[in-house]
Amino acid sequence: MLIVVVVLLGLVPVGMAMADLFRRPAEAWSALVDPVLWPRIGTSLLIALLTLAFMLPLGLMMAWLLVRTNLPARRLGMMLIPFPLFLPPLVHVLSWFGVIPLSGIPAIVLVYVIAFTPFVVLLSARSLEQISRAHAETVQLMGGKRAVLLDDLRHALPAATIGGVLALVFMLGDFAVADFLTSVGPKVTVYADTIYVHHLAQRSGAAAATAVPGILLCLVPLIWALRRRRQLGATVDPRFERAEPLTLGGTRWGLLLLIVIYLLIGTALPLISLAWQAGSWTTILEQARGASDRIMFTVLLGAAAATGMVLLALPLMLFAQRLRRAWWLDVLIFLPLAVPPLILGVGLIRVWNRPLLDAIYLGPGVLLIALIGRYLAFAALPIGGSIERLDRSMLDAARLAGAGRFVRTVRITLPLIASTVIAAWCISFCFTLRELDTLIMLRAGQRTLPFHLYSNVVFARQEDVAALALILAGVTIMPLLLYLAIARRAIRFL
Amino acid sequence: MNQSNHQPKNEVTAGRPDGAGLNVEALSVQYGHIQAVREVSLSVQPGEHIAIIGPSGSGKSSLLRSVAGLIRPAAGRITWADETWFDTDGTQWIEPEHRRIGMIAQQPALWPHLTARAHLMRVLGWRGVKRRDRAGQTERLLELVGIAHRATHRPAELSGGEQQRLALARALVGGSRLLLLDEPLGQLDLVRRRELGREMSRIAQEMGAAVLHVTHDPTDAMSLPDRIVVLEGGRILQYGTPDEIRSQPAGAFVEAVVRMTNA
Repeated sequence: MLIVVVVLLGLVPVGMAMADLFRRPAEAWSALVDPVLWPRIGTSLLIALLTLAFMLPLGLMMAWLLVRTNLPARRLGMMLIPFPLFLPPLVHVLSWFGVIPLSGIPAIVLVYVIAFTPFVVLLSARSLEQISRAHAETVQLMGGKRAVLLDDLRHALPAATIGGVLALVFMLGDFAVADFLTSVGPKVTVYADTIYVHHLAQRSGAAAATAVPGILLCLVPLIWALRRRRQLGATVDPRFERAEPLTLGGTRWGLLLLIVIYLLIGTALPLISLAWQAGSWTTILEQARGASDRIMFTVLLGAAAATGMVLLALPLMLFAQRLRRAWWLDVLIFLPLAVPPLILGVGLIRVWNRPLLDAIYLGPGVLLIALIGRYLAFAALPIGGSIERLDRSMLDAARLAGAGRFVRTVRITLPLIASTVIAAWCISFCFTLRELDTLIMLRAGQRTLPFHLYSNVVFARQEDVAALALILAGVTIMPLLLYLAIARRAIRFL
Repeated sequence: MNQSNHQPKNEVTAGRPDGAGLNVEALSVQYGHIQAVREVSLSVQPGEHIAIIGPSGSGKSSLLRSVAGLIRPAAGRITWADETWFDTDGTQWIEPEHRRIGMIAQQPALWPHLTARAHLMRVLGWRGVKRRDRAGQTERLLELVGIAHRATHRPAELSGGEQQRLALARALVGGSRLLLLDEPLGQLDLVRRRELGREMSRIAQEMGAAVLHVTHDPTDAMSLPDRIVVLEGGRILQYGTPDEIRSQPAGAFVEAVVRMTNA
């Protein structure tokens, strides 16, 4: 039943959109042989690879410093690291546009590096946390500090690569960042833009065909990454003792500065820049009053979508735990993420735009379906990870004590993973409020705050746009701030 | 069968299969191509304490976990009195939660979010004990295992010995008829291990539970149980009372165990 729900949410819309490949084969073929398409794919790949080239070493280094060394305030650092990821890309773009002297591809790469590096940090950190004291001490005795460093790198690299793959998926599906950052000066047209143009020209066969290379480029590394994830999520031995942090000496203040600079660039300065652009509190309050309906609608939509994702991810991941081979379930959950969001939007229109389904299509229902379908993976990832790491002997003890499957889940599993479930809710909420590309395609999406901001970018005054972006940023990160204030621990992604 | 029996084949049946307690017949456990337990038969009567010893990889834990129902054996039959828990012929399988048994391993596997009292109250609920009887039974058992003064503490606030006492109380609460011990005292120091080992045995006996006890400690093996089963290569190598084993040790492993206890 749950699998049917997942298929309905994600696969059916994608399938409906991609069916146009066969309904309009001539149009699809002409799109694929269009001399414009492949250079644009090349441009998108170049941007993605350049981003990865900066992001992977930076993310790995920050994760290593925060987990494996005695860096000052590393706990706080680990708690703050996700913020740049959860700020909507449009907020990054608006805060840096016109402020930095960069344009074209370098500007796009900079924004992506700032926004997506936390993927690498959070996943690598999870891997580094699993290095045991006994293992680290043995490596140090055998090969000294250099060997420890290399061994840590070997531990973190697969997880960092998974983070890179997730970032790649977002980069290949995004067109808004490049569109806005290069609206002045030489225009950089990326691959996802081509799909949008075909859609606007009502060439659905061409849009579907154009999406195929992107889906393949995302899906192949994603499947590889998901298989690696299963290997990373091993059950933690109850006798596990985490490795002692390495002593950095005098350099640690300099290295701390690196992380502080990243957090300033990724979170504090964008917010300060937007506040400065907005000019005064009056502007922000005016915009908040003017958009109060949209803010309320967006928050409620995000909360409902996050709740739906958690409620669906929880039983799915419990079910996955019982499967010997669960990678197909991962693929099912992650597929809508690998599909360009515009194609998911087209598919949702195909499925739900029918007279009988108006109540869903014209209301928040279709938006909920879109958000849950696309971002279910981000609720499933932490919840699945925490279930995999549960000490099986605790569940065996409950079983022998007479608890059936349902009772074990409610009385033992859920209390033990409760904080991760709340964290998964926060992550899901943040991602739903980052989403623009799918919502842009749906009529009901026009009631959301991200769409309002996007449509105001061109026509409204700069201070009003900055105020709106600041409001969106505040609303997005509010649950995360609450979680950190109450739980006092870093959010876990895996 | 009360004689020390040390044929390397598995015609050896440890205990009298008279139907009152646990009867294991020709049990085999397999992991892929590896056969961990080979046609082992043994019986344990209520109130009886049997120790299982053997070198690492001899199949002790696999035997225990298959009796618990945590792994499904490849072949054989497991019964308790006239209740069949597992039978390859009749394809009978009773889930572990319906076997009414308790198990303690080296790690006590306590639930970190529950207090000591809540551990027992919860298990009593799962075992179908009426609400009005739960508090009384919980207090009695906490008293019996000597941690009544720690009833409101969570596992993280208990010492290693107290954690094992709580694990014992949890394993016995609600009328467990069989107690499976898989190296439960391995993490404790020698003095506390002896003390708690004797106490565990006494409490289980007081409650009329049969005990099947896997141990690596030669002194525990020779002092606590009524009888000893020696496993090697997944088969029963020898079976008898501690005195019988001491006087006629079969094989190098048992000889070493006897030497260590005599030292």
